[in-house]
Amino acid sequence: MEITGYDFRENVAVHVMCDYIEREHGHRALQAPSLPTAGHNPPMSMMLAAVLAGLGTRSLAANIILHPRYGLLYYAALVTTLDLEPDHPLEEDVCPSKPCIRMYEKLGTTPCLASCPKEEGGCLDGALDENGRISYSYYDRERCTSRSMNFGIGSIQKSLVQITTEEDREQRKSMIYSDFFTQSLSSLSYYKESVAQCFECMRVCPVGMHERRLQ
Amino acid sequence: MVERGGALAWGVADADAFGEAPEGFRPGDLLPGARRVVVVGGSPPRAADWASPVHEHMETMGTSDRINSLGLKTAKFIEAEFGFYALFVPPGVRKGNRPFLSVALAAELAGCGSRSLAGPVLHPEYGLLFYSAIVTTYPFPFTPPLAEPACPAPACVEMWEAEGATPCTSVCPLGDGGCLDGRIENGRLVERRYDAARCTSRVYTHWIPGFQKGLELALDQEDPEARKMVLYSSHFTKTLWSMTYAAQSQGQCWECMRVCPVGAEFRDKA
Repeated sequence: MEITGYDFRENVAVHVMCDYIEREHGHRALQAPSLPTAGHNPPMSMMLAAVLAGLGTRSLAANIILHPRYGLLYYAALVTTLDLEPDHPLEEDVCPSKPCIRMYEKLGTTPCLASCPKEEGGCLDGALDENGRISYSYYDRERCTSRSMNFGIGSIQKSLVQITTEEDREQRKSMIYSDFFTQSLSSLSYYKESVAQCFECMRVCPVGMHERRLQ
Repeated sequence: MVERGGALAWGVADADAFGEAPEGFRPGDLLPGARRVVVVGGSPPRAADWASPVHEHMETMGTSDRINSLGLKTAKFIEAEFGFYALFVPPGVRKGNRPFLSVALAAELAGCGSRSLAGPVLHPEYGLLFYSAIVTTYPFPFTPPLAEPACPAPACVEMWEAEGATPCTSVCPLGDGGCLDGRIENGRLVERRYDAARCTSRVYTHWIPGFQKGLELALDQEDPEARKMVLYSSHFTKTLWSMTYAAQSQGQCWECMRVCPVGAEFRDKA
């Protein structure tokens, strides 16, 4: 699960769509940049775009946008001058799903909140109102990031701090050639491995579960 | 489907046949209930890559990642069409610089080729190919390992009998600072010696090992100007390019494959 690295393929699809719009319709089409340019905020929120386009709604699980059929999906977007008919946000919230509402009514929690509770060192907290809708949602992004991004850019930065401040040459060498640093470099490279390592809140989510259960 | 996607070879191995792989690195360790390992092969360097007199070109053509793309598509296809689990084996390394699953072993067991004196699994027709593997619970029929190994080729057996060497062992002889040695008896490969550490230090002069070496060298410099020079050097710059999306310089030495007669016709065009 650490190394699935699927979440860039949708960018290829968006490039193809941009090419198509510019070539066939003569309108401008721009791949919406998904990576931060300053700070940690992307120039455009893919999550907001996905919600406004009716692909899903925000969930209790780290605000991940859940598609009503597939659950967790990765999103990419394009911005265009082509006057396409807009879709609309979903009329019904995908999260919480019915089993989660029932669980909340009985136990005061949901599968995702129970798998990673804030009070017990986890990242999530939330509440549902009497109508079964999210009334409060809490997500500790810093804590989640430190756990779900054990490899990748974050671990390179962390390792480099340790490596560059290590004064002993032999110790430094062992850190540079360590499994951990090698795997971090591998994840940073085009293999796109280890983009995220924790999917536990999604593993227990009932939305899209039938798509994850095969033979 | 895989042939339409660009595979030159494909096969199916029994997931239970990976007994020689260490525990923790077998198909069932990656996917509980694994039954088969589907292997797709292709994306070799093109004839023009081999013909280019600019050695940096051969260092940088980066065709191997295309087979991983096909591997991912194949896994998706199996899950979508058959409703069975299909896990793409990632191409990187896990702990101890060891791959998640030996794709070379998978390719051999799936009958895509056989191990060569030079090291790579050789397809009997195309020679060197890059491979990608998918572990699945879908019970595809097996394709058996090759009855006749692709290496040594008849021409290599003849050369061995005449000179006690093959094209690959003579181009990179272990006893003369190279990486390869071996023995052929009755036309079959019976012993192979390969200095993996030496080969790696030559083949991966860029890519992650090159980056690590460059970083070590830079940090060992006490003079800030010397350190700056290492970090901005063309070598270090190239390692960064090769590691990132350019997918360049993953392998820089192909001499044992250049002289291999297996698949030679595909490396030569008008």
